[in-house]
Amino acid sequence: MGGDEFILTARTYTKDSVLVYDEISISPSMSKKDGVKLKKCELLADEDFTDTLTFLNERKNEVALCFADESVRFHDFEEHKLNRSFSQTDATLLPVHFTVEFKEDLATLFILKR
Amino acid sequence: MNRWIVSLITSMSLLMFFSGCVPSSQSSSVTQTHEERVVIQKVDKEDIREVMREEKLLFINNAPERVFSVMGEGIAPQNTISPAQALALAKRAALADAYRQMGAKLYGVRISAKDTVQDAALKDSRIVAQVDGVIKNATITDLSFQDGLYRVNMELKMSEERWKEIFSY
Repeated sequence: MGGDEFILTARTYTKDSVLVYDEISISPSMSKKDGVKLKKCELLADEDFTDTLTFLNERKNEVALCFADESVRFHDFEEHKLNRSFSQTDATLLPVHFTVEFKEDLATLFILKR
Repeated sequence: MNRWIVSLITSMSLLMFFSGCVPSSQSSSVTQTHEERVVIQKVDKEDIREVMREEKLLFINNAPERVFSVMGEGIAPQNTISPAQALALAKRAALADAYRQMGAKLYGVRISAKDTVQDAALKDSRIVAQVDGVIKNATITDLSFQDGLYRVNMELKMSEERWKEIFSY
């Protein structure tokens, strides 16, 4: 198991510091990306799971946090009108290609870069 | 005739004296001494920095990297099914806030304001602040949750040269 390529994207939308929309998507990559493989992080993989995608989807919050230092595009809007205030932030993690390798009870995530 | 020749020689010598004419051997020596005095020196950035440092002209920061630190804050929503979900959602909100603050530091904030005055009294005041951009290589240094508020400390390290290259405008 492992060695397949995946694509991760995430979007967070907050209003007045409260999360109103959150989406983390992990999907298998349709094409192989040639490039260097850099180690990002390790996840505990001591529970039974059927396939890699299921494993990643179960831990998608941890997976997204692993790639928090990758490119994030954001748009922030703040409005102050007399005594009222309103703010909204839209942050999108740009798609990252990654691969997983399983060894003993650990799953190692590698980012693929050109 | 002799008087005429004497006056000619005198006038010629006077002319040479006032015009600064000298024999050819003396003239070349003056040029050489002038050339010796000219020192050609190439001055680069390091030389200037060295002089500034010696003369204590101004403070030069020799740190190779600049570190930008921000603290993002997120609140857990009311309609959560468990404390764990509230924690996870507050964390995501705090991360988005940290990115926003980092963007404001790096790119700046676009401000637009409009005040409406009617009959010499303020009727409406509107201030809009916007930040847009892409953040890369920002690392999370610390995470904490206390009293329903999630805090994320984020850092971005960038070399000074790179910083000037991208953001000097």
